[in-house]
Amino acid sequence: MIFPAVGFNTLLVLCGVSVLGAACGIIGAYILLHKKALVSDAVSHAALPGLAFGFFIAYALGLDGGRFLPLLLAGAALSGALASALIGRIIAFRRLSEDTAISVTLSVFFGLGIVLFSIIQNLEGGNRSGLESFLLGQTSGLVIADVLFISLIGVFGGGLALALHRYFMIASFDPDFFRLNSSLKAAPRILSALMLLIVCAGLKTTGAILILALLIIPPAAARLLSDKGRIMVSLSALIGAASAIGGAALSSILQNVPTGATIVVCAFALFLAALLYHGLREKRPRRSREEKAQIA
Amino acid sequence: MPPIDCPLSIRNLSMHYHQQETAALNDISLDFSGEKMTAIIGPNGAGKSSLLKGALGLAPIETGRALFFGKPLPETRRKIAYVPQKSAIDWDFPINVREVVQQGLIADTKPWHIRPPKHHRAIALQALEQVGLSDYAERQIGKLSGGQQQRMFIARALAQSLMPDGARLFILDEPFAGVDAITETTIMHILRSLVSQGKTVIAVHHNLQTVSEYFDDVVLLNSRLIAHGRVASVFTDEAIARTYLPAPCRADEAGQGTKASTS
Repeated sequence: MIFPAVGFNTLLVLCGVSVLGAACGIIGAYILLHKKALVSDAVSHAALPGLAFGFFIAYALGLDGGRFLPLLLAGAALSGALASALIGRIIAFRRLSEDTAISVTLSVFFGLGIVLFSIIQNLEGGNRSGLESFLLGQTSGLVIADVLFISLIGVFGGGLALALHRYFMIASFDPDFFRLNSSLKAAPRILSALMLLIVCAGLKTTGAILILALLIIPPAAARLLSDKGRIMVSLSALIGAASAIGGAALSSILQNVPTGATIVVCAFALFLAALLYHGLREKRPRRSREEKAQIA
Repeated sequence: MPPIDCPLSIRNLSMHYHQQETAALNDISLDFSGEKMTAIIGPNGAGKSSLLKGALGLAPIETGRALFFGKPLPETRRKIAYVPQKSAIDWDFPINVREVVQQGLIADTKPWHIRPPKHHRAIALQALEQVGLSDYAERQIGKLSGGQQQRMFIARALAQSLMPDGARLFILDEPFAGVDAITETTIMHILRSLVSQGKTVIAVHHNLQTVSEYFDDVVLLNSRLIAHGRVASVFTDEAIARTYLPAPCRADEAGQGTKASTS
């Protein structure tokens, strides 16, 4: 993938993106096991209106013509958290099911985000350049500070998730047992916070719409490949990193293609391979399947 | 006030019926005897599981409270081992048998320990040996039979009792549901030996035929408390009829093993 002409900058971007991909793979694996994949879908889409609000506030304050990254990300995190809380409230009424609550929240927040983005497009004097990268992602717009930021968040988020492995596993496997016995009651909330954090960190790389692919497709592929918790998480991290690197490289070669889209294409190719492997393995007798699982 | 050494004392506990999750319970007050095996008996939807879940804080209660060893639950968590109904578990989960048993020791680790202490593995294997599952330690849980799955959860509860300051009260929700005869005997043997070590066992039970053989005490429940006491004195045909059949004209059916898979 990497050509001799690749410069230091591109290499740096690839490094940052691979850390992001691995962290998404790790956190996504626990999200998948916790059966919260759809919630993360809603949260990532819900980042959009917050992003736009962050832009408005920065614009009103005269910061970078509105494109002031800390405010944008803070807005995204806030509206993502709000969406997650809203889903929780709707379910608490016990009249509507979780998928309904998620669909309602996702479409409302995303719709609001699109409305606000169109308003921004017509704003006079605003610094809009590169703002569309928050929708679909664009690694070519990343500067070294961005890459460092992404890498730091990735290392922190992925590392913390790995350190809390056994808490996440018990909370997902047997919630009642977890509530009765765990000394870390907050584990599910920490997982949600990590998900929100990594979504915001990845906004510029893959965009709000497609960061979800990086959170869900790698663990889904890894789940097909292994029946063992730690191996599944490691595989998910590898697949996430590979998809992110492949996608970033592909988008820089193809020019003008959003990185989010190329990352999804790469992730899907790996998922397809995992699906094929799983399908082939299922057809064989049980013993050879177990041996294969051990090799994997 | 309940006696301070009473493993579980429930006072004026009431619960609402809620969808499929909890049955209605009406003003239940009970002191379970220590160092005994108590069966909770009653028809489908009588609130047997709900009573335990409400006491353990796993289901919302309307009024009342539960004290474990004379204290509220948060102070005595380590002393309680709860074995859920098998049906509530995702058996495809990527976890092996030893890892599930080792979960029983989670209260003995701190969040900042990246890896659990080495001796935890040994305790888990010891618990697995006691239930006869040593050969299955590294197996994915979905590859066990129904009886083996139940023994795995018993092993997790045993692990909870093997840690320092560990479990002294075992609460089991239908431990014999859908298990083979060998597993039933194995589990009974383990529970009996726990009681002889001074521990307390409370189990939701659905087979009326084996109550006298297995248990010391019995609680008869049908939304309200019908009777509680020694099996020999309380477990009468008349009490069973009152528990299972509110209408006297159907009393001739009383005493037949009513299958109550969930409640």
